[in-house]
Amino acid sequence: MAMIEDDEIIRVFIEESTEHLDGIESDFLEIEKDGANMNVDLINKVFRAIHSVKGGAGFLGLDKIKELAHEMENLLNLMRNGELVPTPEIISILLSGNDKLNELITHYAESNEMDIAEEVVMLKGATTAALPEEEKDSVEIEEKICLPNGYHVFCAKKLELDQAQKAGRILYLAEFDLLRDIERKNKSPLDIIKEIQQAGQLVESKVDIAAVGTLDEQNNNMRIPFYVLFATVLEQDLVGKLINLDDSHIYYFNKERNIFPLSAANDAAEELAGNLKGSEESPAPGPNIEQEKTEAAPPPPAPEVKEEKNAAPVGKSAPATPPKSTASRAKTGGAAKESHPTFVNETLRVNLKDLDTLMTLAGELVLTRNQLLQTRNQNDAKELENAIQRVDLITSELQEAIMATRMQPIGIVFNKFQRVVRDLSKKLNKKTELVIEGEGVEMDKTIIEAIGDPLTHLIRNSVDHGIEDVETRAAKGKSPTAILRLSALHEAGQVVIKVEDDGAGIDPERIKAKALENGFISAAELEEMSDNEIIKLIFRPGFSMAREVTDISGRGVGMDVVFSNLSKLGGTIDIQSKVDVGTTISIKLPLTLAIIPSLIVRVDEDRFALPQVNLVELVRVSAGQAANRIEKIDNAVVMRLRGALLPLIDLRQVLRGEGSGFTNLEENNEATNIVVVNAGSFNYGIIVDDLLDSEEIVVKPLGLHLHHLETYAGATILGDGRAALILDIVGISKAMKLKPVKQKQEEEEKQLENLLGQKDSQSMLLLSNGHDEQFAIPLGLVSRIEKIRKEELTETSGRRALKYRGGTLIVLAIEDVAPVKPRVETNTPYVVVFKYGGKEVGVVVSHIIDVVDFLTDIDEDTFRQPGIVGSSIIMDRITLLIDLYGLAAAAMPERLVELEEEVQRGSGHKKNTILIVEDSKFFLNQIKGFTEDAGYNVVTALDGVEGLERLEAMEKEIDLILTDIEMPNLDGIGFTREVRAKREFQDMPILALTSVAGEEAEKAALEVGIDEYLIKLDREKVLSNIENYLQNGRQN
Amino acid sequence: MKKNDQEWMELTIFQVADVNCAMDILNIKEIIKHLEITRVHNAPPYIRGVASLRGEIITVVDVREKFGFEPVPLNEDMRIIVTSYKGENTGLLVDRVLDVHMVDTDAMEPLASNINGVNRDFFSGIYKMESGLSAVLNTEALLQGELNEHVR
Repeated sequence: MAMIEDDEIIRVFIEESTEHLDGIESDFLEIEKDGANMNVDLINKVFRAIHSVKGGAGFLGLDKIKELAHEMENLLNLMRNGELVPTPEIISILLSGNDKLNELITHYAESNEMDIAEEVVMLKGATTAALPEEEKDSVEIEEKICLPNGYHVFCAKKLELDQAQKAGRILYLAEFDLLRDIERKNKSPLDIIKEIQQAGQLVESKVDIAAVGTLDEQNNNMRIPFYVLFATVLEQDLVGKLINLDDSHIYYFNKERNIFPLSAANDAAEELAGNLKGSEESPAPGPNIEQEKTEAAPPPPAPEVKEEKNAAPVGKSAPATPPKSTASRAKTGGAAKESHPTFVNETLRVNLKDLDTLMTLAGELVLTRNQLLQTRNQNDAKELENAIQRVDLITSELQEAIMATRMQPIGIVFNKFQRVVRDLSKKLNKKTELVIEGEGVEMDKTIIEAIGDPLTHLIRNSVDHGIEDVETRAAKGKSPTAILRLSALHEAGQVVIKVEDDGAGIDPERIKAKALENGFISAAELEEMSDNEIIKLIFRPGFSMAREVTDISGRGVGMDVVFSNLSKLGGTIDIQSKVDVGTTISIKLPLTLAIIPSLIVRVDEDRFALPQVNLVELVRVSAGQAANRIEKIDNAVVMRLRGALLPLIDLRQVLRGEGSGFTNLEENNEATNIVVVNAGSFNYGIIVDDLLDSEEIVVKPLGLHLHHLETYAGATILGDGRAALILDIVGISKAMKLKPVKQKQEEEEKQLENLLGQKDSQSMLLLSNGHDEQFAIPLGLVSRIEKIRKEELTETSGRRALKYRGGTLIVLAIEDVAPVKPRVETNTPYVVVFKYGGKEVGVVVSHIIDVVDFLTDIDEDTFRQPGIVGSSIIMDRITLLIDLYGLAAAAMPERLVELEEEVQRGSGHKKNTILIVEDSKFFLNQIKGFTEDAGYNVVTALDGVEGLERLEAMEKEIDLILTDIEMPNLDGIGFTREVRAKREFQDMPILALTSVAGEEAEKAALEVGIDEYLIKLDREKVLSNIENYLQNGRQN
Repeated sequence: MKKNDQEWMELTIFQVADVNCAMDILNIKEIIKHLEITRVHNAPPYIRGVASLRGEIITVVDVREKFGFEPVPLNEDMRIIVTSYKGENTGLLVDRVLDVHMVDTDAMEPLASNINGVNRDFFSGIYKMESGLSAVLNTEALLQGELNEHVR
């Protein structure tokens, strides 16, 4: 039959077929997993899908599609009837059939010229082998279907007719008229086919153009017959209503497949009433169906199948039989692409609710526009403000709603990998189970589409290189089936995708060897790298680990391509691997690409956007500290940040294109702003002039002439309408040839630090009240700092207070208690908020100067006064250290009384006692302050020796010890060793409070039996740890 | 005055340093007056920067620089002529836009030599008008040549 050239119908058919076939692949894999334990519903689902495709294709004259679908359907039907167990071989055949079917549908226009012999032969082979001996022939036998008047309509496969008539189904032949029954009822033949498929099983259909006479004759009652052969459980009297066709155009078949007009049967039914069924089969108007063997008729491969009938239906033998037509197929495929349309799905399903939201917002927008236009005429500033606010609100909501329509579940991509993993494992003789988690996580369509290739690469890598074959796994004592886990989850506005396997892991030694072999890196450099850093070398461009080029991986694209592809998507990648344990690759991706949050920075008069995905933290180094914290090591400028060294670049130098030049920081009198960013495998700092704002920006591409610049990832338009460039963090690190600062140097530095002075250092908030007096508060005690307006501060009955978050905050001033100069009034004073007695209290000051780390060389005598705990020299000035708890206690004696009362009330049960060992009175006071405040009894000691004495004396009462590490006489490590040496203190929780950060120190502390290593004035953390240890005792 | 549509074209005349240039008006998408150009560091010297054209980022090429003259700071008279190059809107920064002239296509003469020291390859021909000579800019050549140099 000629192909019907009706674009609209074909388009609908193709779209629907694609949809039908969409989930089938994973269904097949599911069926395979179930094995003999068949899930009939699932098989039925697949069957129906293939069946629908066959129905439509037959009508549209897409014969190859029909034929292939038909063969798949036969095989599935056997499965459905329990006559065939789905073995992996059978599923392989079905899967390759499904691939072909998808290919045919995508290239539907030339599908009739494409070669499907291989798939058909395999499917037929499998079907034949599964049939009982006497039915085997039915695969090839065709029966003629003729009208009672002998008119030959079409042929149908005997097997299919047999199957159709099983389970009490009756076979009908309906003759629709394309004009009257279909066209005039505003239907399409496809609708008819769909209707029939809902109630029964379609066997064959055909539009009989040959039956149409010439236009001259019988012009009035010309019919274009559309024959449909189908089977349904519906009885003769109901079937007409089902398909909405007059009985006179419906015929039915009895068990012997003799044809009868339905009208006759129904008339007879009325006459014969109950006895109908018996008489049905008797009046045989002669056998209308001739059986004939059509060995010659079907395509050439058919006879060969028959020879193999009794052979096992393993796919391996079958592909050898059909004519090797790969070349010709490739040719048709190639030619096709030039001229014929190919189906690409360009539609997107949108949740109706999302669409409604969009409509509502569009309506709102129109209303607001009207409001804006009106206000312009009235010149009313307040109204204008309102309107602008609404526009702002609606724009954000509109943006969100539109984004929502583009969001798709990541399962679309994930589920494709079941097949990849299955095929690959089979090929490599490995057993792999792919576990998919979080397939419901939604991401922007563009990302979903772009993530497919990198993920495929990672998964293939994992199966090819990571997972061992069954024997090796057995030798290692692992379970034969490897687990490959693919998961997605939301984390802080990003999506984290993980590919985890429990395979062989990556051997750093092999990477080393490869890196050396390629001259990628020097032996000296390797020497200094940690294993994790070595593994990360695989992300470097041009690094491929494949020992030989296989067709699975190692075709010149390596992890570096994955890395750069992900970078383009604004994503980052990390890898963790342990030999013989497995490899985990984590990918972090933004939810959407179009709009990204970013930080706007300034250098000279230029502004740049820096994507927040890359942002780690912002550091401000004051002029005084710059010399200490920023230095040059081997021509590289580095910054000291919490004990680690960070490579540093000056954005100004990057922009001037000066490779490694550096602004002389020592001459700089202002604080230096450093943006710490993540460039994938390491972090680095960028010096900028100013941090302006964070803004959501729309990413726009740069033009041809600027595309090659590594420094920029694109451009955007800022709020004031001007263009600004977006910095490419990875690109800049490449352009500047940045390398992570070597670990070894870091360690050397650390040792140096340890040698120089093992003094405590502490973050301090520097304040002033507008005079030359400088104050400091330990940052760890501060909850928040608020900038307020002078008017907000009210004074009632001698108390300063601030209306604040729906409540009232008591605000003290330093001069309330301490004999210092009164605060100079400013328009925008600052309130430092801290916790006292479970409630928040504020201290008002005129200026915040800075936050500094300083070595706590505290003079605890000279300036000792109420509210002042001591003094120190910070930034070349005498600085008074404020005793926040002393200040609060002196200013609000009633709160202290309340506290004590509360403590007494609560002391029905035993109050826990804590021993604090600390040599610095300043720290001792602070720690004592907040622990007592939290309701504990506190005993203090000034060094380890005194601590031991206290412990001996009050053995029974002490529940927990907090100790400093650096102390005279006996330090915290020695003290702990002594305590642990005594049997009765084995279970005593000991927490170290220190400011000496670093892994080495921490390791030493934990070794002697310290339970927790905490930073000194991190109040919240210290308290939560105390509580935890008091409740649960020592862990381990 | 039109004899036949095909033989006439409208030329926009503009000035770059002391060279009078011309472009077929049909090749000009628009001429922008407000010059808000964001400088692009590390870009080839003839790139003046990027600008926002109703939500699109366009590259602005400094024609002075391309011609080999010293670049000058932006001033009131300067304009950006927006033209399409390889499917992408590109801006040409010129010193001033003078006039639009109707010319007879047949009257275009080939360039004999460089004009005021500017490479003749940048032009496709020259017109003699009452106001003087106007060289027709070959934007393809102007934008392509450097692209090859800088994009490897």
